[in-house]
Amino acid sequence: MRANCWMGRTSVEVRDVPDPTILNERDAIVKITSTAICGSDLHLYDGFIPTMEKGDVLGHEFMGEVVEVGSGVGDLRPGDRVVVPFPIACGACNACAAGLYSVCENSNPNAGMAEKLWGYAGAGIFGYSHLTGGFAGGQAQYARVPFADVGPIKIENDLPDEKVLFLSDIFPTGFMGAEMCDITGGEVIAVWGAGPVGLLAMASARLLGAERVIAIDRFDYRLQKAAAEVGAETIDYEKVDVEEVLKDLTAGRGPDACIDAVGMEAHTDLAPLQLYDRAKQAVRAETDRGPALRQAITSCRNGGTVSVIGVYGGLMDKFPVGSWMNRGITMRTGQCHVQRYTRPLLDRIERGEIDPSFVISHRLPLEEAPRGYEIFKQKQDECTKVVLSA
Amino acid sequence: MASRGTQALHVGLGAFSLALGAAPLVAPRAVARVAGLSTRPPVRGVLRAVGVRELAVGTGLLATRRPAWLWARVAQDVIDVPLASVTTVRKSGGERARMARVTAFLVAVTAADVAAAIRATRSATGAHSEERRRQMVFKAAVTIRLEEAEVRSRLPEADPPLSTEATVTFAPAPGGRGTEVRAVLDKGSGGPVGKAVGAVTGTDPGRQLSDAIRRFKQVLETGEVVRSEGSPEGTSAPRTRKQRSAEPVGAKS
Ligand SMILES: NC(=O)c1ccc[n+]([C@@H]2O[C@H](COP(=O)([O-])OP(=O)(O)OC[C@H]3O[C@@H](n4cnc5c(N)ncnc54)[C@H](O)[C@@H]3O)[C@@H](O)[C@H]2O)c1
Ligand SMILES: [Zn+2]
Ligand SMILES: [Zn+2]
Repeated sequence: MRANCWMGRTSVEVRDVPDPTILNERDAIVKITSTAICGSDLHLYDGFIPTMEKGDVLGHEFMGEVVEVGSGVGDLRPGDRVVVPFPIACGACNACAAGLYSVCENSNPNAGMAEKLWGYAGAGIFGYSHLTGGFAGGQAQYARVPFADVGPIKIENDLPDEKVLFLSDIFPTGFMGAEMCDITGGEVIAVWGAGPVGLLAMASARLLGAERVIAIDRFDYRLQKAAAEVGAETIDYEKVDVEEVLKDLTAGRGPDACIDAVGMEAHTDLAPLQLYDRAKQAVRAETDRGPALRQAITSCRNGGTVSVIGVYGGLMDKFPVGSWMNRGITMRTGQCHVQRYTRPLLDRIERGEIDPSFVISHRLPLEEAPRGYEIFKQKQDECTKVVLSA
Repeated sequence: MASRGTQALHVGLGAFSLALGAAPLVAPRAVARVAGLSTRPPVRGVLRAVGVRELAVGTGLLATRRPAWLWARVAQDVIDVPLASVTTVRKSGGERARMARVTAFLVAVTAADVAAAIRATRSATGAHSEERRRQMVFKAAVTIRLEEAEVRSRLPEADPPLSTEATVTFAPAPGGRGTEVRAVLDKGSGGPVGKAVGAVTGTDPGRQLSDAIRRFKQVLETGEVVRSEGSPEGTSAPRTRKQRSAEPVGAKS
């Protein structure tokens, strides 16, 4: 089959690889119809997540048709149309029982590797380095899906792929980002990053009852999308002092909650800070660039919440611990526990409350994945989200 | 133990010193501008000196593992913080704000350096014989979400076997979370030699023990040892070190 493979820093290639086969009784093989490129893939593409191997099949946002099931999969049969959550979860351990699927205790065969870096390991993730298991991903024609009786959600109506594909990752992720803000109605929510994840976090904040949503980014076309699709107020962080504007917009209170939908490759126009973070990243003295997270913390109102859905990998310097502690700010975070959200969010899509496909800007064939990565990374051609058809 | 972490820190901070050192030497004006410092000749001179000093300390850090070089970094930080204030041009509020940020940055670097130096000094002077003795006893533990009686009775299903060499004990986990399983392997007198051989052959008993107990948990909770394309045999320390690339395991189409 054809698959998009990681070939080194900023290099991906669509190649011939073997077709997947069943390795565990609870596996299913899925023939992929649609798959997407994620901001998380950019961290791999740019070489910021360690433990990638040349030839790794990328991709963790995919859906398609079941073509084969192992003997241990009871509730799926060939022909079923499914969306597959990006974290792999067994459904039987204490973490899964608590709904913490992205930290499943059994699905990462390389847990020992991750424990060295993080203390304890997270779940296995499709196409996301060997630290998270070394699983082949879904930017391909077929994928092997472990624990197929737990993760995949059946789509039993004729909703097009585009409307349900993002149940695999970014819609649940954005939703969890908003949910962690404990919105009860009337809140002001500021979101750093108006990429697909940030946009869906903004839309979710609205669904949950936020009164005002503020989008922060430097790409005008993305800010415009946030304004048009979600009714967000917008801040271009390259043009104004974000903290000051937020203070002003909230009459001195600060936003009730701040969502970081940027992650480890955050950018800043403050030259010394950017230089500092980049220099330390280059010599591996720091893995993560922190301007967005630092600002989300120092901007948040006293007693508010900072919800971190942007991905970080290792260590960050200049964490504003004093601002966080003295002002009683709550920080919540995590790789999304996708399995927890697929059913209720599919219901919302079916009821017409939201159509997450508004984030899509580009539709390309799988063969053009390398071009997709490049325009998404460079934010060229007003790129917001690339969907690949396999 | 001069731990791997401390060594990595040495190398990291050393390389950082080199990088920081090169910049003011090659482009003192640019650095001065970026840092919000005056671009007048005396300031540029100071910056060059700072660059030379960073290079010296960086080289020292990379060349040896001696904590003294880390303390040298601390010493230079202590000079940098007030130096930054002296070399600032007193001008607009904007520049002052920028300078405040640079100073905050330098203070942060100082803190990192102090921590590294203290850690290295401790591990260089620490007592060892106790430590070595402890290193011959290997332990691994998991919590399995099943009743104790079931976990006990299924111990023979462990693959590889757990109970031949290791002592396995069971206890109910608090909060109804199943059973705590602990395995202890005492390599006693044959320890250091055995461990050295193990390290070479890839059969470190500690890692084997933790692999075995993880696999046991997987079998009991999920029915099987979990396999990925990178680790097709399932959890295994040697495989962790040498991963297969994550492309499907199968017949070429
Ligand atoms: N937690 C999860 O489970 C999960 C799931 C999916 C994605 N993610 C993460 O979410 C993040 C965003 O993903 P995406 O697909 O939207 O990526 P993206 O690259 O399209 O979006 C990131 C946006 O952040 C903006 N940005 C950069 N620096 C900024 C700053 N200092 N302030 C404000 N905005 C800034 C960029 O301009 C860009 O528009 C990534 O880190 C990704 O890994 C997390
Ligand atoms: Zn994703
Ligand atoms: Zn689990």
